[in-house]
Amino acid sequence: MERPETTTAQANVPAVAIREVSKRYAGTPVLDGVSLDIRAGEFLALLGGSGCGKTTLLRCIAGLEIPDLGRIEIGGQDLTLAPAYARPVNMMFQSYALFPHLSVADNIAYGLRAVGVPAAQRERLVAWALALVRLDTLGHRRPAHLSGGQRQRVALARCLVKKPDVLLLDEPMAALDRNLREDMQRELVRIQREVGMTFVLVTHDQDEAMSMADRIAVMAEGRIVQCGAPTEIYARPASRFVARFLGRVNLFDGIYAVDAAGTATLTMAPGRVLQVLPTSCIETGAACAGAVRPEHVTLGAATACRGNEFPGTVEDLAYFGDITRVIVRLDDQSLVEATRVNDTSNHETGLARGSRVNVAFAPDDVVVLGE
Amino acid sequence: MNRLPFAALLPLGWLLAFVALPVALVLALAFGETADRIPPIAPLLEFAHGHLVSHLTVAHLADVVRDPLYRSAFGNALVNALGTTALCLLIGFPVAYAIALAPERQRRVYLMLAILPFWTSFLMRTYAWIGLLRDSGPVNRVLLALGVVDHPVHILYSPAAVLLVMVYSYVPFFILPMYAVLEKLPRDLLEAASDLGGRPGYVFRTVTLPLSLPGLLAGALLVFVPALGEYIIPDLVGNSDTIMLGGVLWSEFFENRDWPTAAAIAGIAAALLVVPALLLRQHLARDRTGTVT
Repeated sequence: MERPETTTAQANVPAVAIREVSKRYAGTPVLDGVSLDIRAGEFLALLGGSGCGKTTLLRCIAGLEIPDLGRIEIGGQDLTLAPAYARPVNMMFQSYALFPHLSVADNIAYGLRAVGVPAAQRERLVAWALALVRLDTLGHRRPAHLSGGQRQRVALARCLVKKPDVLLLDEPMAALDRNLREDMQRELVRIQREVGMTFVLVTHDQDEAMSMADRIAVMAEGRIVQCGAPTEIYARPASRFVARFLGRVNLFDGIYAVDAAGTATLTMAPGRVLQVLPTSCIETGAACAGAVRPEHVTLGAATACRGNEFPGTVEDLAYFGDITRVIVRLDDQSLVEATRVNDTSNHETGLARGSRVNVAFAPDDVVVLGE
Repeated sequence: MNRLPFAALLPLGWLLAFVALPVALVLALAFGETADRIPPIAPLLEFAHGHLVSHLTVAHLADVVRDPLYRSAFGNALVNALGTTALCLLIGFPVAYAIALAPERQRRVYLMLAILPFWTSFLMRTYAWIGLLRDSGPVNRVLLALGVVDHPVHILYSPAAVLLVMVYSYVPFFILPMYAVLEKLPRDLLEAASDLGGRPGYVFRTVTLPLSLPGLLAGALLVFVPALGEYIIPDLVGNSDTIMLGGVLWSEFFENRDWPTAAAIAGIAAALLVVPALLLRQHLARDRTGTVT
């Protein structure tokens, strides 16, 4: 799904500009020269496994950590060393960090009181924020008397009411159960569109990042390894790590070569060659990997048109309702995964464990990844 | 009928034998009459000449309330105890906060240091202060050597000396409960408050202080209650003109052998202590209904 692009005027000054930011904890690098522009009005996800530095980067933007090196500009201003209370950003904590001694309304009003917003305006803003997160009737309650989902909404409202330039969300769904999580993901996207703020979401959940964000910055070992729209990252991963981290993938290791006629190949073993599209990024003779998404792999009788075709035996089938994942052991013993959509067209082709099949995919479905 | 679990018998028996019974005895004594005998008190009730005779009077209680000597003893003790509590709070809170914020391994060392004075007898430490504070003691020698003063300052045997030694002796009792609460204060609440625009002073007033109030009140009570009845410190380093509760209690009981008056003083002092304790209990009970941490 396409989201409206930000206007060029807004895009000129990034909401947050991160320049070569590094941070160490007790000698261990947590952030290693991270640079990133966060565009005004976009929903950006920082995606990565635990310990990749995504939360530290978020805390550096919030001012809860100060980078050892590098610069952080917010709205064009260098705020690298500014204390958290002086930054036009707000953070929603993974724990929600609601004040237990204050009512819901007072929790939401906290950030307004702290900067001396007059009472009348404060009340209006709190009412607006409560309505935005659909908690109009619970303003008088203490956080202890709310459900997990309600607490999350209070934490969100407490940030939104400050109308920050950038809203930072640290694993906001981590404490919710699965059904609630999907509702809240949609709700968060709705709210982001309604208020038009820049959202930066930290998550380790690729589905969450893909379904919510306009852009994803994939992080590993303190660096950003790829940044782009979800479709772009999924279709054109820049490395094995990204290909594996976002979705499922089949990787074929081999040596890349382009012949005189301009035909590109990836040789896995003598006699086992993948047809691929020529790429300028990789030189002939370099070791690389061909990445093929399971949904691009077709199973069936031998055909001549697909380019890459290998015989094999169905080893396992996993039925998921809408799709079935098929694991095929090729005759050279390597495993390939294929996804079959369970629509009416597939019902007649009965596959079972042990069936002989031909695995096929087109050269343009192979993404060649260098090392 | 609810039966008490067997395990409750021991604490219950302890409380009856060493708290309830002595308190009842003291309260009963307060209504007694002095007599020239051993013990120096007339039996509260006795059979004489075929009649049940009671020797009960409120005269001693009335005396204690009316006599300016006792009033000033109460007043001095109250001022001293309040001063001690206030200074313990001013010193103990930052110390407890600093310990709570220190890295985990250092925390244990600092706590140990806070408790270390308990390893020496309380009496010994008080005597040590006499040596430190007297006119020829190290404190005055340093002041003289630095040229801060020309003549030794008479610190010893003054209300200031009493306050100093009281604060020194009682501050650990404030630090420990205060630390226990501050250490559990979730850091993310402080971060959230700062993130929402609260400057450090505002965050302290609106988050740190209200959430650490139970520890503050417990610490203040642990200092205030024993400080009010403190006898040894005013006696050893204080001015004999500034009589305090503990002092009059001692002299009524041991020197004047006036048990009913001593009991009346003790009873009234206990009543004065029960009021703040009950207020604290109520405050904490109310707080629990709304707060879960």
